[in-house]
Amino acid sequence: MGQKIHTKWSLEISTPAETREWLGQGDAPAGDIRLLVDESPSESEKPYIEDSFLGYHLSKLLGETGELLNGNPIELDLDTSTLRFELNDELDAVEIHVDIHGVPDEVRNTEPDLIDKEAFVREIYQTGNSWFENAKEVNPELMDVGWFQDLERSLREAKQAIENTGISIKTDD
Amino acid sequence: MATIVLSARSVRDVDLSHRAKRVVAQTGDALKRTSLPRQHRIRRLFERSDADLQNWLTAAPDTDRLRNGLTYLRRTGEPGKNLLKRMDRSARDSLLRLRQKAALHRVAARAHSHGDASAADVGRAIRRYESLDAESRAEFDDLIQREGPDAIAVSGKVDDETFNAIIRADISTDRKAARLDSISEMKETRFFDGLRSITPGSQAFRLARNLPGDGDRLETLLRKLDFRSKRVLADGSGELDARFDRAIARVEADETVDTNQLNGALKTIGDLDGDPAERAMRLVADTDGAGVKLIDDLDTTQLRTLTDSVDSDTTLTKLSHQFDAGTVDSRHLDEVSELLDSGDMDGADLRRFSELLDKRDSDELIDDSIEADDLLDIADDGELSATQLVVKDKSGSPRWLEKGAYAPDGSQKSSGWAYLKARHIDGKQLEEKQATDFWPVGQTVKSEKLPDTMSETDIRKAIYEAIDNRETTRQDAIEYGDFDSQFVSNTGVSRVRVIVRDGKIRTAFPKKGPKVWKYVSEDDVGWIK
Repeated sequence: MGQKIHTKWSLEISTPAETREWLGQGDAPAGDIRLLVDESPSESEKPYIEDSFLGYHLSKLLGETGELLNGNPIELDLDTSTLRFELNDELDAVEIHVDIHGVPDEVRNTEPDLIDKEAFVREIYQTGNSWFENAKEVNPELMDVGWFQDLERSLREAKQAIENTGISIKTDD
Repeated sequence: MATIVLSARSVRDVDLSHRAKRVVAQTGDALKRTSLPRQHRIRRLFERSDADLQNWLTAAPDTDRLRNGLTYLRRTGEPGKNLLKRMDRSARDSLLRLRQKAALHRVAARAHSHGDASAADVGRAIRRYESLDAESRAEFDDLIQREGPDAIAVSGKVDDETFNAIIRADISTDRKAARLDSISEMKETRFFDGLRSITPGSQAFRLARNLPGDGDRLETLLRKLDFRSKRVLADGSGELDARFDRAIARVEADETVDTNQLNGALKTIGDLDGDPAERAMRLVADTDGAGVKLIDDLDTTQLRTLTDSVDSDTTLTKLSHQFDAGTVDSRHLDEVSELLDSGDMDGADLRRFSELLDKRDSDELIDDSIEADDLLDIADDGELSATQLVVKDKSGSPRWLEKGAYAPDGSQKSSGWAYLKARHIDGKQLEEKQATDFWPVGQTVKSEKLPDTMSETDIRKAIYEAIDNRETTRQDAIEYGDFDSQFVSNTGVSRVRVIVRDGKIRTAFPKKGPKVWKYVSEDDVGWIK
């Protein structure tokens, strides 16, 4: 196959500042997601995927990171696409599948991206953790809201699962 | 004891006792201008009187009594005699002393014989007349001319204060007549007197006048009302006050409204002032019993909140009728008040609340099973005033579509019809977003004219049907593809996706169908038709 395993990728999601209207009312925000491989977010022209359940999906992604590392895929049903993250044990990488609803594979002619496992889980955790901390600043009362408490728990579980596999993670805090 | 009355011309040669001579002389004086046949009628009248009346008329030392009595009998005939017989002696004296008041005598007798007034009432009226000065007597005489027996009846029945307010008031005869008229049909004027004693000025009469020609109604109403309610009812003097009074009188006759509700509503209105009070009175004037029931159910603070929040009288009217019909109950009103008070609901929301309940059987975009509880849940979670569609999902949970907003800068939540239209009809952010599915409404996007097989209403109907036939959660994305063949044939849409956030429809777009176009910016795919 010889498919490239990327070590540089980023999970870009709408920031807490951009979703201030949702967070201010205590609601899990809707927003956009971009998965950039070997691209800088500021320079990329890759389109955004709309996600009406961004806040919930972030929690799901983090909460299931441990499962992913155990070989169980994570699937996120966004507004017009389904994202699937699947461990490729053989390559020690994670496959990212983006299925745009209603668009046959042959039309797009794309292959899943392969991301180095450590790079993948570090980015997931760090993005999630950073988003969580920034959201708290936007609305400190979120700590009393169920979905945000779930997100905090998912972060803890993700960190635990990642560290259990011997991968060290570094956060700003 | 003299027991006869003789014509002066027929007794000159008869030997009489001193008293008989006096009686004859007085009789002669009284009847000297009376024709002989009429003298005989008067004699017969006298002779058929009971002994007490005959003795009283002829008793000394009042030498004018018989003469005045005969003059009275000459004027009033049998009805006058019956009245005189039933009056106490003091009243008889008063009546006969007014020898010059022929009209008064005749009307008094008629008032009694018609049953408008008892002898005691007439006696009281006469004594009051006697107590008047010349100017007031002239006024009373005018009233007798205009109102006839009613003037005597009312003057004899009301208390001193009311009598003075009619006769001695510094107002025109017309107004006095109107006052008199307004209470003339009451059987027990003590209720009106009671009202007079607690209301200043002319308010009691205004109230009576506002219920024209129906003393029974006024009387029954006053009988039911407590002290405070009467004051509220009689308060004011404008057109609204009159409409309000008449409405309250109609409510009194409404068997579905009990006395406690009537007094409760009046008390609540009485506790208000200014605009809230006027709004409440207007509500009652417009809705009668329905308004009274609604106001009775609210406390003063709640009613003030309601009137402060709701500009539209139509909304309050609708709400009253819905409360009366049981569509809205006390619990709902409490919740409405709390929501208004907290700012989670405003007047526009309440207007839509009433509209949605009213239209649920006729508007195909409002589920006919929607109830007040559902709408209050929506008000709690959303903006009821901007609600375009309300439908219960298969498990009975209400879901709704609001007008919403489209704000790509994040200044507002992008959600609802505005968001749907911007993205899935107008194609906003087409290149910025990965993929966009289009409703076929004939729009032009990126120089492409899309199929024109749906209206905006069709889109809402599709959303309605999708939710109606699926169980949903408050955060959900569903797909529905069970439209009937006619719909699919007409619209070219066979499958839709509806996204629900916090119970409301955030957006919806078609997923499949011969007329569904999709634009994919990722990987430069472009249009998929």
